[in-house]
Amino acid sequence: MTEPSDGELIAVSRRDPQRFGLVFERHHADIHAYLRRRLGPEEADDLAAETFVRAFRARHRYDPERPSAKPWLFGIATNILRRHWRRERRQLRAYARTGIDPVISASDEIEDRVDASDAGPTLAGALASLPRGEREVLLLRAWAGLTDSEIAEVLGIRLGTVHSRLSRARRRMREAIGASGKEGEDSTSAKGAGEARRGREWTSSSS
Amino acid sequence: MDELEQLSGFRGHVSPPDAARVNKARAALDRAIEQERTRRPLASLPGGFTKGRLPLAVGAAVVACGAAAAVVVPSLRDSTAGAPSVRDSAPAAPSLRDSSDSGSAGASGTERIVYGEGLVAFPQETASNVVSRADRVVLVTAAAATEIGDNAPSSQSAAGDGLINRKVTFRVDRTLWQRAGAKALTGRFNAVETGWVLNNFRRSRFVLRGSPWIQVGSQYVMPVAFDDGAWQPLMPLAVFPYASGAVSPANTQDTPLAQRLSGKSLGEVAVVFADAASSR
Repeated sequence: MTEPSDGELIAVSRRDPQRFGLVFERHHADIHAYLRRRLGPEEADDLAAETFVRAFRARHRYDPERPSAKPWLFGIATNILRRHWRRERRQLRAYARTGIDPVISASDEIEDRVDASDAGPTLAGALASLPRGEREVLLLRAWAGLTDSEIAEVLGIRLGTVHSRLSRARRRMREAIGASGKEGEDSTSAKGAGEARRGREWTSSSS
Repeated sequence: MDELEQLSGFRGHVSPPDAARVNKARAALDRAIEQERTRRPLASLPGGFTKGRLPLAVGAAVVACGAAAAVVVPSLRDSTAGAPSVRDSAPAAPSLRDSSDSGSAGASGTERIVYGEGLVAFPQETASNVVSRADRVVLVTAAAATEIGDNAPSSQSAAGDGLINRKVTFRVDRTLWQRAGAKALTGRFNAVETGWVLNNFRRSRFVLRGSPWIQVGSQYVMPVAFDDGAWQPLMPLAVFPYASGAVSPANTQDTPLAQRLSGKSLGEVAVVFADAASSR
């Protein structure tokens, strides 16, 4: 027996609101994980909850012919995140400066406190330097795993705009990481004064 | 390793949220669901239509309908072309053809319509249903309408949510059927009709699903009954727009009676109800 699509569930939930709970069960983990990587576990709890409450209240505006609600939910989450973009940028800059990620430090799970990448501060600085629109596109691709057309749907922009933003964002990231790598060859210090200087260089060009 | 691969490991090791975190978010959603369920006025009030009087039904909504947009709004259709993300779940309603639109050019043509759901305490789906309770079936013209006001509690009004009903004056143009011994009906009568729903200060027409929007200047075939000392519309699901010499049900009207009367002239409508009465 085929499981109902998100669109079908949402259509039914207009008359039987409890059915929206299945949409929550399908997508909460993904939305939470994305928000957690963006802002940290505590914020993610609240913002993920807000995402689904907002979605529930707006479900009558959802086109039931769209089978997957994932882009729609990420769109709501992205709108909510816009309230927090300054905070996110501050966190990224702090990470780049100090080598300590405030998002991971806030985690209550030990394994999360270890970043998977030694290049964390470098990446944080590069991310902080990206214009907001480019950062959204890049992170929706890298962290949410959305396709280009889904990203276009989430952000309400054209597919061509997604392509161009993604291309620019990747180029800036490459340049930042490359510059960092070259600098690293000349320095034995992975973190510290060199990191702090790079952080300032990145943030000075941020939007 | 390219930049996307590097990013995928950035802040990696994100484990799924534990049960406590999931439950917290789920509790917030459940509260929203419960809030909607308990505030759904027309569906939750068994008296909404139990006496078969639309004014009573609307009156009930008035009492409880503070958060009307979120509450009595199981479906919402945007009549604006090019808004594919706003869709109704009703399968046989590809476009908005509410009678209100035919009689209201201009700005109202792009006004959103919010459909409310309500319990009906007795059937209104056939001519036989109508003649079993109505005193008359008349052709009326909606001659005038005035807003009754925002009936939401002040806290919800402040938040831009509420329901605005209308007092509509109907002019009786013609009687199509009458019960034997029915009280005379001429001139005009007033009724409370749905008006608009406010949601975040945005105004949308509010219509009970299965009934037409009452547009000033338009004509309707309407069952009425004399009750509590006054004539009142009866059976909102059995009120049909009449235009260009034929009954033209609104797009949400799909009862057997709506199908039977669709396209009929007034003479033919009269025969339908007369036949139904004689066969009882």
